[in-house]
Amino acid sequence: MSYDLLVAIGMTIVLIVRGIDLSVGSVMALSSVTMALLMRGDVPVLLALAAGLIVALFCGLVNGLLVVKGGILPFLVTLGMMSVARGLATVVTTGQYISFPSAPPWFSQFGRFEFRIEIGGTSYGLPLILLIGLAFVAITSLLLAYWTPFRSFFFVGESPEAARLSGMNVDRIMITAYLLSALFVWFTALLLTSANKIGYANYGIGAELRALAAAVVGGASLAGGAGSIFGAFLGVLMLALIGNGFVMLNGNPNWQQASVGVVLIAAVGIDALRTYRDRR
Amino acid sequence: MLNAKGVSKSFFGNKVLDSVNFDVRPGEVHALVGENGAGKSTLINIIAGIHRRDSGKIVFDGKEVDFAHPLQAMEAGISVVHQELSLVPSTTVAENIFLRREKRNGVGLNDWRGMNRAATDVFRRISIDIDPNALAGSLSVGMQQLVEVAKAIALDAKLIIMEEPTSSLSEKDTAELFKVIRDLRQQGLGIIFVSHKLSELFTIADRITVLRDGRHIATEGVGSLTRESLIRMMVGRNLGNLYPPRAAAIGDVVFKCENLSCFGAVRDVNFEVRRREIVGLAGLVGSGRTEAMRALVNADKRASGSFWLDGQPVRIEDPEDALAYGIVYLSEDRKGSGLFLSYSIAENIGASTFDRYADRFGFLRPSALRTRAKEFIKRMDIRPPDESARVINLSGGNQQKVLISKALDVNPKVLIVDEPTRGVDVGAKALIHAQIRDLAQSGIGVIVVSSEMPEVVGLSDRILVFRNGAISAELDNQNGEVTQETIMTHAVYQ
Repeated sequence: MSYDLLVAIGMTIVLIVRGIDLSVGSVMALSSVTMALLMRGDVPVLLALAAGLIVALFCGLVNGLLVVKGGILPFLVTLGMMSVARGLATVVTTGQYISFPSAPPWFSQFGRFEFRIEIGGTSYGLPLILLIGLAFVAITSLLLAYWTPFRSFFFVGESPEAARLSGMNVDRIMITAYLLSALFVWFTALLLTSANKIGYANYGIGAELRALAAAVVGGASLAGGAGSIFGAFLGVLMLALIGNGFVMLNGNPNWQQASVGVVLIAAVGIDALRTYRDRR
Repeated sequence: MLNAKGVSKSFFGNKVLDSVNFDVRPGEVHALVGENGAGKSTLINIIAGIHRRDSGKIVFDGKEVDFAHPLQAMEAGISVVHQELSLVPSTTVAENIFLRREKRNGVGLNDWRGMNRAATDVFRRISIDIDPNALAGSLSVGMQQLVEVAKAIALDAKLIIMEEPTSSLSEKDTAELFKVIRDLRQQGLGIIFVSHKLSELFTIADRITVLRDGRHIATEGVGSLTRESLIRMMVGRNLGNLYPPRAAAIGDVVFKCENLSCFGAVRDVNFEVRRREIVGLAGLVGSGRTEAMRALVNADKRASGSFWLDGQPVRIEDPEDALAYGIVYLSEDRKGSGLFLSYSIAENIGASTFDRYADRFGFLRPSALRTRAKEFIKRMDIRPPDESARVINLSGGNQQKVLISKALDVNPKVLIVDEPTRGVDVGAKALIHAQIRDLAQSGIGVIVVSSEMPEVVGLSDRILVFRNGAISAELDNQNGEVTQETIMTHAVYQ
């Protein structure tokens, strides 16, 4: 759930600028295997992490450039990137798990780190990554509300032409949104790789749909110009609860994937209605 | 043929129509006028079945009617030609006319020949010449307007409602449209004509009904009305002189443009703007006025052009550069490329000047922005006077005031306003004109692009007439003596 949350934050930002990023799950895998392969080859951890970041940002940059300068539909560009990144990750790993036994132990510990909290004699674990996720929710919410470079995402998404005539660098702002999405994807890949102690080309399958569903449930509009990080957080929470519900009710957990689709379609439908009413 | 009595309508407790009476006789052009928000659109929407009335009675064609849906009104014989054209650009003219009522041949495929023939018949009826096979998107706005009228006629409409039909038409297209309207009147159709352009009403209308604040003020024959009496009834007061007084002393050159060209639209345009001067750009629609101004800030890629600001050469690669120099272009399309419709008045006003309302780390100080917005709301008389109101809910005139406030907040040196008062009511118009004059007086150079010739003549100190992408005449208008005829001679092909 924490992973979905981080990806959903990036997705929300991309949706605000009228984009969409379907490549998040695949780029996550590609970034993860890059880091894992380098660490397996005894490259210093920080250097390996930086390489993973560069790979993710490169994918984000290509997405942004093709959308903005190439004028191709974001849906198509990132759908292509989704396939390219997944393919590359599979090729370089030949589909194997990539472990990195020689990496320092701290790296494979922090992804699973939990704070222990005693309440009434029972000990609950509070995962570090959940706290990180919540911290990012708070920070990005604040920045989107008050920080001018982030505020401009909304203006660009609401009306790119008006934003341009208002003196905003629309191209740069849109590309920045894709780069931010890639940044969150890299961070998710980092946590996943650390927690599982392996890099894997099949990480993040379906992540784009969950993030999209969460973002749209949380109020992001596919028409751009609207979106809320806190809303996306609630969206992630809702998807997690639905998933959990299937387990609790002894249902088949495989229904979870179907439920994500239903939520996505319902949310997009409501968004379409809302947009229609607004523009009427 | 149409008789509406005591029609009332409220939205969310706001009475927008208060027992209004309105009637149309066969073979009559009945104009409906009033300031924005006077209730014209609501009345029309009720007649056309888009809204339902709260109370009152409407008799059409001898039967009492209460349409629940526009389609019912259409079937009864009432068609609306909306201000925003609704043709599908990528399909043919004939297809558009028969949209959703396509003629089929025996196997259920579209009967192209039949549709084209029927379309041609309709065109002949209103004696216009349009190829039914042409793509709707390839026609000029004026021609598209006529296709909309043809569509209404093909539907056997008895009453045609036209909303601001000439707002984006050139003088020539307007004349063509009026010819068609006269034809239809001859054939016994009733026409409701909504327009802000008062001069047109006297040319085309038989009777005029004035609404104000949702109430019926008067219905009179054109003969017994004058422009002044009409304006008085619309605003409920004397507006005095429609245009602000001219500049006292025009200063030195603030902005110079040389050799501005843009592929296919603008050819070698040279001009200067002086401090405290308003330069009006006149010309027919498509003559390159708007295109030249967009090319100036490089909103559309230009082929060539050099610019000087205060005597210094400046490079303008995109609107961002222009803005940094204090050169602001306000689009004619305020909804599409001027305003951020879903956002508040305050956010729109600050859209170009964000950084001024942020601390040195870039964090917005919302209170600073709100205070500034309040100043503009007061200065421009923006209604509602609430800086957090969403712009989408404002009337056209108030939206335009927000747009101009946004430009003023930049403290521009050169302000380019494209169609500053399109679709804006008389009261707001006077205010916007006064603000533009004030702005020029404060020492900046102003360029006003307008299709409304009275506006160009009334407002500008100098007039540049565009024809076919180039400036065809420069007219000194400091004493306001340039006539519309003079402009027209330079605007049309010889």
